[in-house]
Amino acid sequence: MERPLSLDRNLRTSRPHGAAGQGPHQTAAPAKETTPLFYSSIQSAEEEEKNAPTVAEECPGAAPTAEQVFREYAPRVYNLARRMLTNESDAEDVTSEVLLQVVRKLDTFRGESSLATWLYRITANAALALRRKRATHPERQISDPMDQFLADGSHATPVRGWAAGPVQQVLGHELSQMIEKAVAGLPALYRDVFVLADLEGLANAEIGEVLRLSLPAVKSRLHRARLSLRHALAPYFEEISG
Amino acid sequence: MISCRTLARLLLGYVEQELPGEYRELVEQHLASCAQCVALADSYTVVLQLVRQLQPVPVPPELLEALRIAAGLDLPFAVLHPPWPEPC
Repeated sequence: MERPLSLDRNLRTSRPHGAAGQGPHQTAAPAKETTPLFYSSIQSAEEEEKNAPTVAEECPGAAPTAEQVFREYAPRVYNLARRMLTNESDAEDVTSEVLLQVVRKLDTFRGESSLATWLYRITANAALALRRKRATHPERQISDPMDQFLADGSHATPVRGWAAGPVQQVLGHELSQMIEKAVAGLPALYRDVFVLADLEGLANAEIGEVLRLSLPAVKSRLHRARLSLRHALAPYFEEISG
Repeated sequence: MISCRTLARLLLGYVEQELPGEYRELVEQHLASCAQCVALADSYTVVLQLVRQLQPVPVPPELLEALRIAAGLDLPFAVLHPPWPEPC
């Protein structure tokens, strides 16, 4: 059985030259090497946390430690749950459930499949289960963005160009909030696929695996999500372009 | 020539560069003569550029702290990360 990893961050800044000393972590100045290890660990804990190697960098194929799971994956789990459920309290419940479940089962993880995909799958399952539990009535009628065409296949309403300005800038707080709100307003059917694809960066095949959907279904929902989001954001950008 | 509706159906494949050559040509022929579909295609990609800039929301620190305690990780940093090697 593969053993859990040690983060071993203090050692990486003080290890003497040798075979293992050729990596990117071996550039510490000599003065730093004379600093007592315990003191240096307190002084630079925050910095080390930021620069700590990921599970994959540290030891590919090995099981991560619980601390690594919290550090690397908690933000992904929390953000996926938050965007799927559009509710912070429910997202916290799912995050707790998922991370504690993962930490309890770490010794059974052999690195045979991507830990990230596994985490996405159980997070999505937990979020879907909670959504089913919360649902007192079926989701309102979902509007299909492909219905915005006339019988002859032309656009039912005029489509205007968008201003390019906002895209070239760093996304400001107001614009981020507006986009987050538009994403939250997508029908759940489309939103789940959209969040996994365009916000979490999963490949379509992985999304199919996580949500148990066929590849054509993933693509169809993703496309409808993007068209719906474009439709929701259009008034804002068309107004800017005048 | 394909209709605007058909172009909209093919847009994902076009943007993701997954369309076979003949369909790609059909899309490009249509775009060459339809300003509304050019606007649709352009804004579709703008949406993707915008959402990919969204930053993750930080996990509430009190949630992480509670999880660490629940998982038995409520130990000082130096104890959790001892300065001795533990090879893979």
